[in-house]
Amino acid sequence: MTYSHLPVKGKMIFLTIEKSRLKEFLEAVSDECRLIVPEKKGKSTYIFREYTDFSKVALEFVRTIIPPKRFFFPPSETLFSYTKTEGLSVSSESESFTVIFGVHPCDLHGINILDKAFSYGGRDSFYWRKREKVGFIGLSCLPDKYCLCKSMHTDFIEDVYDIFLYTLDDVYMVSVRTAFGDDLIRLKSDLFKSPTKREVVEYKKRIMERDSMFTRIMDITNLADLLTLEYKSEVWEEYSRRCLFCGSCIMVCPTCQCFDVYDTTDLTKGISYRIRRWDACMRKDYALVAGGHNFREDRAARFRFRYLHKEIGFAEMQGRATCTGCGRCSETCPAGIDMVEVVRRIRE
Amino acid sequence: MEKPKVGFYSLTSCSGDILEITNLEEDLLKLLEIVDVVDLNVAMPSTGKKPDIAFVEGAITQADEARFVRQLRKQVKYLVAIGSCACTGGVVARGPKQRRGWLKDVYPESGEGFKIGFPRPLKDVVQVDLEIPGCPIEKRYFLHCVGYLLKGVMPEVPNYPVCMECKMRENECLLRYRGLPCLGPITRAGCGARQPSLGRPCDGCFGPYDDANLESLMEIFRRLGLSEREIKKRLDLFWERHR
Amino acid sequence: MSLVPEMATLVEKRYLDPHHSLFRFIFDNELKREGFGFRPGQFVMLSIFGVGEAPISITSGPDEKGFIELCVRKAGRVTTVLHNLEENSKVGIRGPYGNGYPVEQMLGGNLLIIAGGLGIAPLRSLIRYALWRRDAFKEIYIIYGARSPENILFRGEMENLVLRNDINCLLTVDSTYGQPWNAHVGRVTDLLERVRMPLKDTSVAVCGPPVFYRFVLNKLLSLGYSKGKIYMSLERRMECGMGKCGHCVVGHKYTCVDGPIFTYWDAINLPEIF
Ligand SMILES: Cc1cc2nc3c(=O)[nH]c(=O)nc-3n(C[C@H](O)[C@H](O)[C@H](O)COP(=O)(O)OP(=O)(O)OC[C@H]3O[C@@H](n4cnc5c(N)ncnc54)[C@H](O)[C@@H]3O)c2cc1C
Ligand code: SF4
Ligand code: SF4
Ligand code: SF4
Ligand code: FES
Repeated sequence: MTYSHLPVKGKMIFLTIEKSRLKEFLEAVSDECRLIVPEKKGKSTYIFREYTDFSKVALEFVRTIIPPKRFFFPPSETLFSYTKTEGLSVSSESESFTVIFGVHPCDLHGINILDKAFSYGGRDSFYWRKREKVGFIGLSCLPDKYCLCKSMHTDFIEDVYDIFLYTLDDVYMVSVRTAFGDDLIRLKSDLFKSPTKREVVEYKKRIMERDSMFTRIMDITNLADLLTLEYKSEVWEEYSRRCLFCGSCIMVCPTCQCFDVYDTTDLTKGISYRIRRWDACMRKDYALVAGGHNFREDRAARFRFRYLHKEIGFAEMQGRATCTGCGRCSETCPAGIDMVEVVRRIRE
Repeated sequence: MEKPKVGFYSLTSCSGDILEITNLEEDLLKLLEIVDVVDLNVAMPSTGKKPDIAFVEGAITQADEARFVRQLRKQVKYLVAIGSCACTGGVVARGPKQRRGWLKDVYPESGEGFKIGFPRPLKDVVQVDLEIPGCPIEKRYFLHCVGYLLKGVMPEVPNYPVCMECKMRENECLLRYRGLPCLGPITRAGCGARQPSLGRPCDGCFGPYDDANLESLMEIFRRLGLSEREIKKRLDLFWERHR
Repeated sequence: MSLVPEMATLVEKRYLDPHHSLFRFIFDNELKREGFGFRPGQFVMLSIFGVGEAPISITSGPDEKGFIELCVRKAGRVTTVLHNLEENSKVGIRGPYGNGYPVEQMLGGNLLIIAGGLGIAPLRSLIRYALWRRDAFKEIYIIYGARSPENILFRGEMENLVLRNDINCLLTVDSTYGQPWNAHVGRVTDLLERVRMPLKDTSVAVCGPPVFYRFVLNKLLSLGYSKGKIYMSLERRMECGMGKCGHCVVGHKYTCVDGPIFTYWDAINLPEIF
């Protein structure tokens, strides 16, 4: 099996696989490499984790607590270690090849955005070392009351994934995007057939149906201008009184990339480690420098900063807003702060 | 080069923090190769030598404890408060109004005669260089701090809430999904979200982080249906002293 | 690009004042030592292992090869431990980072350099660059202000510049605090009145603490300098230096990649600049 999985533009191949045979396919994949799948965590929450048993794979989940980014941008990672006698040592442990199954379109867009962010100003070797060894089997989904992807134009994806499965009645319509996806298919090629006329009709019906299921719409016309014009709006002040600055919304966001770098020493071994760990731009010390000057101390300014960042901040670099509309921040916020509502208030 | 001298001292407390340090076992023995422990009352008699760095657990409840700490302050380069009692008064400072009653219940005869002042954190009596909160402290973080102190600089104290650690562990939020009164959003991180990871709401033993929005969390608790009494009780353990 | 630094050795430490010292480093790797090129105004991330990293401007000139010099204020963890290091200690250095001064655009014109306090650090590199190729510039003015005479960093060097007659170097202190001093006492802005160069051809490089910027920029504008030709160096919290960690973001720019040098015009168009 070759590992050339970087997406190539070109003709897409469509196949189908019977739902009842997905298990065989996933097992074949998991025999070949590390397979990550969505599983139920609590009553209504899901997480991505190592494949153990097909019966645990969640096929109808909406979103996981943490997006797939943690597999190539982990919450905390050691960059290198140092000892007086041996100097620097960068972990050279080769990452195992990983396939993540069940990634929805918004999260695939999120990965695309992170890819760009971790390339701007130079490729981040720690990110890319892992990222280059991750392949994606996408999965279609139906929106819940938090999904905003339609407004953010991420409800559909033609890129990033290696294989994408659209759920139909009895089969999955399978789009094969990359050579690596093709390699995966060929692990069990007898499971796959060409789509029939009926299946194509059903596929068309399904995507129309899905399109009409979005109940939440966020109007983003001229949003960049509005956010700039309402830079001093009291709306920021108001929400910053409610916001707990707990950072949850940032931890769960597929496109939040902030991190902190710090050192720690294992005294007993005389080794020091440099570690990077997720950080949150809303944190009070985030922009604090030596001497005590804080460039963004005010709560309202910190609250606003995150919104500006998600909606317009990096438009120049990304060519789009960095929010993918995955709905995680709104779902997870213990204070019930909802992005759609905040943006609506700014528009008013 | 002479090894730095380190002392561990216990004031009014359950000794849980120093116990955590002795629990370091192997690592503690290695640490002893790097530093010279001059006092560690739970494990050895005092050497009588003066420490360069003093780690003090427990709250100050009696006059001689206050005198002791003042004396210690004069001797050491760094005075480090370890554990919530030393940092804020902690469990020892619980229930300011009910204390008299409790004393009588526990010590029926001598309760009245006890010369106990209201428990105070170290910082109320002397200048403290570093606070390592927790009930008990996290031993890994303790070692991290020692590493910095030995280099002659202060470690950075985590100034973000437990929620961030909780999310990094991908826990289902107890507050959001189960309506449990978790203090994670206002509590200083450092424990790796121990309680929420076990399905129990955070009790706030690390105390508040610098940006805690207590008002908003109380409002959320009210909406969850908690009475003012229940909310007060929730905060009594570690939070009362910060109000 | 990597967050892993190159090993380097502290070869020389020079006391400047109670809070600042000059540190000279050489890379352990010979290729890196010879090949390390940078522009004035760029910075490096300096690592003290087990303590952390700090962004520090390169203060030596780009034409001086084989070593780099950093002028560092004792401000916190990394910088304090650095000050306590003995010569021959090992550190980590990665970089150079940031855009640096657009020297190509400055060539052929007049140069006005205005430094306050530690702001001299990146500007010393620009001064060295300009003096190395003195003929490539027309007039050069250097104005440097500090709190007191003993706080004038690189005092000997600066006084030598005052003596040169192919440039104008003006020094000032807020107050002499009873120390011997024979130059100006007062604000940097007073000295700006003495600059005699055609505005049109002049690039201005300013670096200093926040209040300093406020006064100097106002003065420069009132004297008619173009916002597009005033270059300032921004200081922000930095954790990576390569546009990833987010800490240095001002509005929608990364100070570490898009800066730290911004024209005044670009800077005022960033939200949350001041
Ligand atoms: C582009 C640039 C150039 C600089 N050039 C110089 C120079 O030439 N000489 C000099 O003495 N100082 C310079 N500074 C400031 C210097 O980076 C800080 O004084 C230094 O980071 C303090 O680190 P510390 O560990 O000693 O302090 P601590 O307060 O212990 O720092 C803790 C953390 O905060 C970060 N941090 C703290 N202050 C700053 C700050 N001001 N800027 C960025 N990150 C900060 C550190 O990177 C570290 O991660 C420069 C800053 C920037 C952004
Ligand atoms: S801002 Fe919220 S909705 Fe948008 S991508 Fe991040 S978590 Fe998802
Ligand atoms: S999750 Fe909600 S309360 Fe927490 S920081 Fe985000 S907006 Fe604020
Ligand atoms: S369970 Fe508690 S600590 Fe964890 S995210 Fe929820 S509120 Fe925060
Ligand atoms: S310092 Fe990390 S993004 Fe600029």
